[in-house]
Amino acid sequence: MKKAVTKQKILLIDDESDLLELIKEILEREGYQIFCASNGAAGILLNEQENPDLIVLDLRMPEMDGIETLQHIRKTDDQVIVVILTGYGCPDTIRDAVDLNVSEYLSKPFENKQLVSVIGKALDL
Amino acid sequence: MFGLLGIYENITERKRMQDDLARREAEMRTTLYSIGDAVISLDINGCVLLMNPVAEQLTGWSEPEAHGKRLEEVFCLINEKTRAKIDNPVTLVLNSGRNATMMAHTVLIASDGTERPIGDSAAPIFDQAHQLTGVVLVFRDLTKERAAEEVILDQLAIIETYQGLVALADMDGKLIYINAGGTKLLGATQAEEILAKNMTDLLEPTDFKRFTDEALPVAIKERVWNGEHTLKRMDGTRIPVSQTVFPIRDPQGNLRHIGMIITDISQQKALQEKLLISEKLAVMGRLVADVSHEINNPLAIIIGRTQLMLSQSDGQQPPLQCQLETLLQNAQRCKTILSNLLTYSRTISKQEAAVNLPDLIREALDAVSYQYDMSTLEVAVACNLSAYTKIIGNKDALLSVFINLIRNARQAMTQTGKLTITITMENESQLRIEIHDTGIGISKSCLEKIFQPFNSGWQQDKGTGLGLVTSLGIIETHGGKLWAESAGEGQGTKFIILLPHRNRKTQVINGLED
Repeated sequence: MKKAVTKQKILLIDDESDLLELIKEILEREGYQIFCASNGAAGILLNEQENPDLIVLDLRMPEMDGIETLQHIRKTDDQVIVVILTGYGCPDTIRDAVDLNVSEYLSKPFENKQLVSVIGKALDL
Repeated sequence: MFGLLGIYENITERKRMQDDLARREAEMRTTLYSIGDAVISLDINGCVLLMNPVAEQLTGWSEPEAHGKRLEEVFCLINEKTRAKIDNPVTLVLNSGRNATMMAHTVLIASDGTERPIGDSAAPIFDQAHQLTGVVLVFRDLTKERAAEEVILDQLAIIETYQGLVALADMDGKLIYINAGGTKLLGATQAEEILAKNMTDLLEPTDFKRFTDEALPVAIKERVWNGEHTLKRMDGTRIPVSQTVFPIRDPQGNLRHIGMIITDISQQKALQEKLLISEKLAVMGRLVADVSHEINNPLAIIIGRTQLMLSQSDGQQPPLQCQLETLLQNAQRCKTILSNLLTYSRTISKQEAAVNLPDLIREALDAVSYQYDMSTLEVAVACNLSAYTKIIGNKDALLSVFINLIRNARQAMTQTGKLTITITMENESQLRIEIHDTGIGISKSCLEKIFQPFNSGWQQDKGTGLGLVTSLGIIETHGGKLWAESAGEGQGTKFIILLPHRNRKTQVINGLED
């Protein structure tokens, strides 16, 4: 029997593959459909292909960082909800992200429960 | 023929002698008239015979006018200070038959009333039979010398007033002059305590070789040597100094003295050291920031994975679950340590600037709300200050203090509660900031310990025991105070900060130097 509600799609963009795997597992248990990109360019491409409801985006990545990636995404997509992963309380990067319509910030390292609640909150808005 | 010749020869001889005499007198007059000093010759009675033009100019008498007059009439001397008449030295010479020189501070009054400081001497004249026949008086206008002397005295006053050490040593190294600044720098009360010591007595023994092998030869060869030494004071204490050594030569170029100028550079040294430390701290700060960011990811994975495993193993294997919980607790403790280190690293080596306190506190509230749920709290910020009242400080450092205190307050209140932050004027020079929570409070015994390092009052997973120590340090470097008050457990806690405000800018900057 098919579920009546289609699964909500989440795109994870993070260069740390173990963290990607962990977040994927946590969120899949919550019933989301997950796509993973290990760098900014792959993330931009996947966003266009899969048109997810929400993106979890790491700010610190080699080559194209989170802010740059989001700037590219926002050029064509001003709908997708974005949750940013950042180190503990970095006011500077948060200021950078202010104009890019970011819904929530989550500082690493985070609790699994926190991740789930932040994403639930962002999707509900 | 013979007789005639004899007379002729005689006449020739006399003529020749007369010529000689005239020639000598002419020579003597020429010499006398060309001498730069004033010369008056006198007969045995002390009356003027000859006067050269310099003497005419200084006395205001012409030679023909003065001729035959007693010296007292044309040569009027007084004491510069007492203005009493002084006997001229000629009388003394006539009485004693010996040379005489004049006392110091003698002033000659010319016929037109002009006064000039002069120096003079008088010498007796004897004939071939050693009979005293007269006196020669030689004197000089000392106006220029006196002016030059005054300039030298002025310069000496400058050298004496100069705070650094200025000293002269003879070629054996024995000190023959030291200024008042040098006397004080060495910790002596009188210059005499230091004079007669050797230059090297003022140096740290380890600097001797450098002084004799490098400083002196270089100074003599290249006219000056500059370097740093350690100065040994009278009481044995040492201070770092910068030293200039230079030779003083006579007009022929022969070495006469060694000059030294020494300045105390202990303050510069201390400042340099502080700078060095702050540079090291800045490097450390960047390192800490980078390392914590790098560790955040692996730590997130450890915490996340452990939590996942715990949720999957729901009570099935109690020992395993227990171990996983220990693992999780300790990983979370690492997380708190990292976040404190990161906060601390951001406070290091930042410039101070004007800080708007209400804005800063709002920013701190925002920052805490990214990490903790503040929505269940009632938060009130009341600022009772004019818009012009600002403090000077390190914005990031102060921000981290407020983040830390607000986070503490959040953690002290289990679910609901009220967080009140007030900013008021404490007195003319200080602001008072109170951060008041209605949380668990602090017992009296704990209150004394909360500002000690690694003495966190929190349970293991909540605090590292570094937050308040760091905060206290930051407030103190801003010239302020930080303390906590609590009526006891369950009674809430109040943290009070006093900070000097803008009108006391100098005080703030002094505080930051420490």
